[in-house]
Amino acid sequence: MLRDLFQRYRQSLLLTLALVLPIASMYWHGKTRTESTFVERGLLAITSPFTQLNHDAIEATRKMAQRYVFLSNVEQHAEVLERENRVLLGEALKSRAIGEELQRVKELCEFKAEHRDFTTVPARVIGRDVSQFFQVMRIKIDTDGLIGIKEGMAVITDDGVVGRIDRVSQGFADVMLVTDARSQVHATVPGKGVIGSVKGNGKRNEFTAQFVHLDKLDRGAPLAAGDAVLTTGHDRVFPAGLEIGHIADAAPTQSGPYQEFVLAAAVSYATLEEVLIVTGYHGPDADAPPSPTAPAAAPAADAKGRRTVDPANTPDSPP
Amino acid sequence: MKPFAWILLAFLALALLSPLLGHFDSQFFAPDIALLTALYAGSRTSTPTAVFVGFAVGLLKDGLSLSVPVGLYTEVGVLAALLGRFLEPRVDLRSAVPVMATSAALSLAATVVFLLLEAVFHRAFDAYGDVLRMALPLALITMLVAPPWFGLLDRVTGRFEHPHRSGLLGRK
Repeated sequence: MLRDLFQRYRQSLLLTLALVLPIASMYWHGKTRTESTFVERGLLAITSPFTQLNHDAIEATRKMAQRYVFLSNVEQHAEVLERENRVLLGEALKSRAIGEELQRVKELCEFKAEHRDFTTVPARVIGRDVSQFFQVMRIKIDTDGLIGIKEGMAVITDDGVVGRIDRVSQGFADVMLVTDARSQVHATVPGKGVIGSVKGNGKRNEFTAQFVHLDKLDRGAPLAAGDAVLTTGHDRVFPAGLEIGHIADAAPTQSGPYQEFVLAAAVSYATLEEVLIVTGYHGPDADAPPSPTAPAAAPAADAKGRRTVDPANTPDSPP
Repeated sequence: MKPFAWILLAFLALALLSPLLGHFDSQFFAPDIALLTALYAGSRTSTPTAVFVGFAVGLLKDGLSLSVPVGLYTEVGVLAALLGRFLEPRVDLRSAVPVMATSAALSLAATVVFLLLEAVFHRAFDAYGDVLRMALPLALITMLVAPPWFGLLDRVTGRFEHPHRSGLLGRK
């Protein structure tokens, strides 16, 4: 009897289930929560190895293609020279790749050594969110299982702020970039007497910053193009004194009491390969409020032309 | 076996898309492979199978995009498969031009459904303007990729079916 009923309405039942299950899942997952659900962890665990596999395959193909082009070029040379050149150039390419990787790791290590007030763990970027509407990237955490990575933890590089952990499971995590429209970071411009927030606007390398002057007496020089925008640490996610970006256009738009500026990102998200996850912050003045009117830390350019900020001169960083 | 082959192919394409988007920094120009696979399944199989394929590819896309509440792309996949079933006797989804037109229209419709479901189930979401801005480019790129994708799936289907059946990429 029951079997007959099931057979008769099997298709309708299947259809109803297929339509209702996702809705129930959306209702359940749409609620604000601090931890990933078992469904999200399961999906991340299933899909991430394939993403990594494809990432490795693409890298291998790219390297093979580069090598082929190189081999085609040296065919015109004499046989001995060709062989020597091939070896030497191969070594050079290999050395350069190793050198570039070492340089990146060295910069991250130096950054880590300079900032002993927060602990970090390294991670590698393996992919991007396949949804076109979000600025999210996927990373593989190198120290899987050693340190508990949680949602909401800050992700940074030696260049500045990258984003925060959105979802995490078994050595993989999704990072919501600061350019994502859902992202908001508390920020200041040192020495200018302003405080506010930086919001992502869904574009690749651009944000919007809203600043308000604290007090007429405290007001510093007007904000100018190129001024570095730093984290204050007030949002309890990003350590203070990290660069978010710099003001791209000094002409602000007035939005209520706020002045709105367009910022250019400090980090190039497209070429990002290694990142650091901030797992703990224990600076001596981690709880102290920042002083946005402290002496301006004029951002100097280093050898790479990158803007650097002296942490000692920034308003929020620990001594 | 056919539906599993389609799902596997779609999953591999989506998983390949994820690191490719990172390499070429071309997130805004990614075709909606999951949607196309669901539409294809709807146009080529029975309703339960089509719904199963739409559900599975949607769920896998959810897995590769945890920015949305899990289930959103699954729902879109199921609806696309059902629409494919509805269109199957009415539109010739074996020729390139109708496939392109249907894919573009379906992509735009999927964006609307996406916005509606985000509005209802994802309170923290507020990037409606960005989604609307990208709806048309997404529909165009999905439209361009639709014929080769259908052709590829036809070839896979051909492995399981009669060898003389023709598909979008010609007689096999």
